[in-house]
Formats: sequence, structure tokens, C-alpha cells
Amino acid sequence: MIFKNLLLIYHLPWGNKSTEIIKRWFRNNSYASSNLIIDDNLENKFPTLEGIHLEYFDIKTCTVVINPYARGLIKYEWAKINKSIIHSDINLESFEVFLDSLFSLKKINSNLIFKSQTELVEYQKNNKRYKTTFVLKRENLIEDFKKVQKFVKSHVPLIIRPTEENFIYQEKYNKTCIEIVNELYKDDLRNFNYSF
Amino acid sequence: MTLHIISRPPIDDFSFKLLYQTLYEIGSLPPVDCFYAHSYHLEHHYYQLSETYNPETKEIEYSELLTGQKNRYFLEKKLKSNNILLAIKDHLSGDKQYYNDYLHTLEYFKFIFNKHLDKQFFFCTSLENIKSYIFEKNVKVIHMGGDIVNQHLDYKKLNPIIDKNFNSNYNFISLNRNFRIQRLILLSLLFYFNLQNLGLISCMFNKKLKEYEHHLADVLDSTLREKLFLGFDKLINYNDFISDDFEIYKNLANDNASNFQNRLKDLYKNTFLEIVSETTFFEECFLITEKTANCFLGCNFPIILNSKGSVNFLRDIGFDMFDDVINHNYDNIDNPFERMYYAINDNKEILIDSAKIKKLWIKNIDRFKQNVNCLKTTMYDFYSNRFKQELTAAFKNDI
Repeated sequence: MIFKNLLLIYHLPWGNKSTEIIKRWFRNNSYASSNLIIDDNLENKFPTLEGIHLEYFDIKTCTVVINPYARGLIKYEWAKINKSIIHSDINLESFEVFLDSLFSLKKINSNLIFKSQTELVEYQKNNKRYKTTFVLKRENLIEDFKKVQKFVKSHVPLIIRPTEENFIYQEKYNKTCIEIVNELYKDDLRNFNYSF
Repeated sequence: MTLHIISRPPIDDFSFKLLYQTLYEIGSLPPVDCFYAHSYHLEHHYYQLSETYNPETKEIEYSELLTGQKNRYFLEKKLKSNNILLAIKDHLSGDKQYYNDYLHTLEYFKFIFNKHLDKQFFFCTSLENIKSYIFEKNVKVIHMGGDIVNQHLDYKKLNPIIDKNFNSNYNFISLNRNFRIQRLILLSLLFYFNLQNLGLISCMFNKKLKEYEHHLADVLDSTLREKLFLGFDKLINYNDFISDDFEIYKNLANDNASNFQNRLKDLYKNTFLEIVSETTFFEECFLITEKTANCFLGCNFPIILNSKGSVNFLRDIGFDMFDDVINHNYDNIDNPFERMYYAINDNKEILIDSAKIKKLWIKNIDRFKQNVNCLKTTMYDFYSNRFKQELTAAFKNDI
């Protein structure tokens, strides 16, 4: 690790704009922001951790994960608006059908929409496992962010605005939807300790 | 090793990564404190409003947070190791530039160099030929490439302008957005030589020309001064400038690639030569920016109005400067006023002769395409290789 102070924050798509809250904190905190790498071009490509390491070797990284049940619903809402650019076999007839099509297509497709958060925040290369340095949970962001505040040596409070509260997803789920997500994102549920 | 990012210019997608990757490749070193900054953010007058959400009033409030002074304080506070790397983007002239003047922003860094004579500084700069300003023995200069590299990913996607309009009534283009003294002199000269109807000329400061007129009185050569005033009298009454807009960057600050695509492309289609009025001119050092890039991408014959030696530097990178078409003898002239005068005077014939310039353009189309290739690939290799070599050698010899 050559730069001990540097941090690159990256956004996981369909993440309820979580990293924006953190980036805003850095923007308004000039001393802390001197540790932050911002790379819009890289960000626009929605990189995985492996993609980031191709350009910034060994950089310390930070990202925010959200509850996979919330993420599933955010993906559905997004897909309905962006019909023209999503995989043609994804079925948008209902939320349940949508989840089912994600599940059946996942094995044969490497598109970002099929990936779990775990697949984006860590990877294996040359028998070595690389992990994102700070994985924060959206639902516990103020508390989790303290690790980053300690790292950049700034304890200015992180503020979440009322419009940025956690995404409500429970009422859209039936038993089948829960079961699909349990299977589809089992690695996220296990690794980040999430439940419905 | 620490790398403090004080600030970065907009769309800085080449230099920062180059620095990061080069330092990483060089590997473990004795401690070096590294700083990266946009020179503008270290100037006295710089300030930025900060946006803060107030949970009590539930409103967004604006307060002045960042200033050049605060950034300077931060930098000085963090100068801890014996080895300091300063990577400073953009020119160092400050907001004042004139003949025989010092570089206002560089003066601040010279103050730092002299205050810390016990430290070794590695000064990475966007400027070329800056060594003539830096005499301090504890400073090694490393060149990281001008602002021309700033938006390289977007520029690589742009198509060159090879579908020229041969029915165009215009031979050349001269773009003059922000006021700089050299642009006032250039415009006065173009009007003195009665070239105004043969080119697409912008002058975004045309409403303030009267305010700036006094700068012409500073030209010491009385013959040239007289010519400039004659040209200025025509310039001030001219109303046919091509329209320019303060708000050219609609979505993103300094989005020059979109500006080229959305606005400049059509201007380049209708012209065959560009008189490029760069950011630097009076200084001994120089900055190469997107203005030069646009000329190559627009496939126009180049007359480059920059500091002495800049045309030669572009040749060194690998650009074809069309020496058989354009007389670039002006590039060797020390006196900036003379340099400007001869740049136009020695190329009057091609600026005027519409049939000739179009014929020459057709004859040389392959050379324009080669320059586009140089702009998109060779140039980055040049900057990248030179930076790596210079930084590696400096670290090897001085740490």
C-alpha cells in the first residue's frame, strides 16, 4: 500500500444514491477531501473493485451496500423506466416475474444488473482475495461511516437529509419474492448480515 | 508516502492518474509528502461556496468554506518530510500576465522553496520551459503535460473535421473568449491588415474594448503601436463577430470536448487555418491547452500564438506544423509583440488567398489525419514517457 492516506469511494448501482451522502460530506470538508480520489470517468463505468484496481493499484476503497430486498425493488423500478436499455429477456410484467427472470438469466449473463453486491465489492486473483476496505451499510450509515471518519481523521457529523431516508420495500414483497431474493442474493444476505 | 489532493481541475482524467501510477511503479521510497492541486485554488482571490444542510431549519445554507489562503495553510501545515512533491496543474501566472512580469502564482511556491531550504522539492508542472524562472537549488522540475491532456478520454472519441465546406467565404478562424492582452493585440493586428472579412472571428470581450484600449499604449515599438491603434479603431466599430456565449459549458465545467462537438465543429468546417491564441504568450514558459488540440482536431493549418518555442515543442511531440505552408519563424522571436506581428505578417498571403489555402488543404489531407492520430495517441505517450523518466531520474538522484 503505497499511499496510506488515500481513499476512493465507488458507487454500487441501484444503491439508493448512498455514496452521494458520503461524497457530499467530503465536498464540505476540505481537510478530509484531500484524501479522496474522485474519478468521474471511472465512476461512470460503474466499476467493480477489480476494475478500480486496474487503474488505481492497491488503493483503499469505500462503498455502501444496501439491503438486497430493497435493492431488488430499486432495480425493478429502474428497469421499468429504462426498458429500452435492459436485457431483452428480462420480464417486467410484475415484480415477482422480474425477480424470477433475473434469477433464471443470472447464470448465463454477466451484465451488471445480474450481479450481487458481493460480486462487486471483492474478487479473487492469483489465489489472493481482494476486498473493499470499507463496506458500509446504508441502513446504518452514520455509525458505519465512523470508520471512514477515523481513517481521514475528521469527525464532522455525517448528515442524512429527510429525503434520503432508507428505502421502504417490505410492502411490495410476497412470499415468493422473498424466496427468490433469498436465493438470488444469498451471498449478500450472508456476507453483510441482512434479513427481510 | 502520502498524497494530499488539495484540488483538481475539472475533467482531470490524465495527469492525476499518471502521477498515481508512476509513483506506484517507482515503489517504496523514503518518505515523500506529495500534493496535487489546481493552481487556481491556491491563488489569493480564490474562494468556493460550500453547501451545508441545516437539520434545524431543514434548509440548505451556503457559506464560504474554501479559499486560496486556507489551501495554502493546509499545504504548509502538511510539509513534514524532507522530500516534497508538488504537482500543480495549469499555468502559474495568476490573473495578471504581461511582458517581463513574474509568474504571480509561482512566486508563492518560490516562497515555499526558499522557506524550506532543508527540503528537496520535486515540482511537477503543466508548464513547459519553466526552468528559466526557478533558480532554487532544492527544486527539481518535472513536466507533466499541459491542459491539452485534461479531457483525453472524451477527445479521443471526437471525429476530426475533414468534411470541409469548400464554398465557404472564410479562410481562417480566430477564437478570442476571455480577455487577454495578447488577444487584444491579435485582433487589432487582424483589423490593421484588413483580414476581418476573411475569417470567422470571435471576441467575447468586445463590449469592453474601450476599457482595455490602454494596453496598446504599452507597446514600446512606436511603429507597431501606431499600426495597432489603426487596427483598434476598426475593431471597436466592428459588429460581425461570430456569436460567443459565456455559458458554453452547459453540463460540466470546462467540457471542451462537448463544446467542440456542439459549437466549434461547424466553425471548423468552414475554415482552413486557425490563429490559435493560447493562454500563455508573454511568459517565457508556456502552457499547451485544448485551444491547440481543437486546431488539430479541426484539421486547420496552425498559426500558434503562444510563448517562444511552443511551435518547436509541438514538433518535438510529433505534430506536423506544415512548415512548407506556414511560416513559423515567429516562434523564435523573443519580443512577444514582434512575435505576434510576424506571425500574421509573414503568413498574410495564405490568410488572404482563398483558392490557394483550399488547394493546399486538399493536397495535405493525409497530414491532417496524421496530426489527429498524434493528438489522440502519440501525444499522450510523449507526455507519459517523459513524466515517468523525469520523475524516476529525479527520485533516483535526489532521494
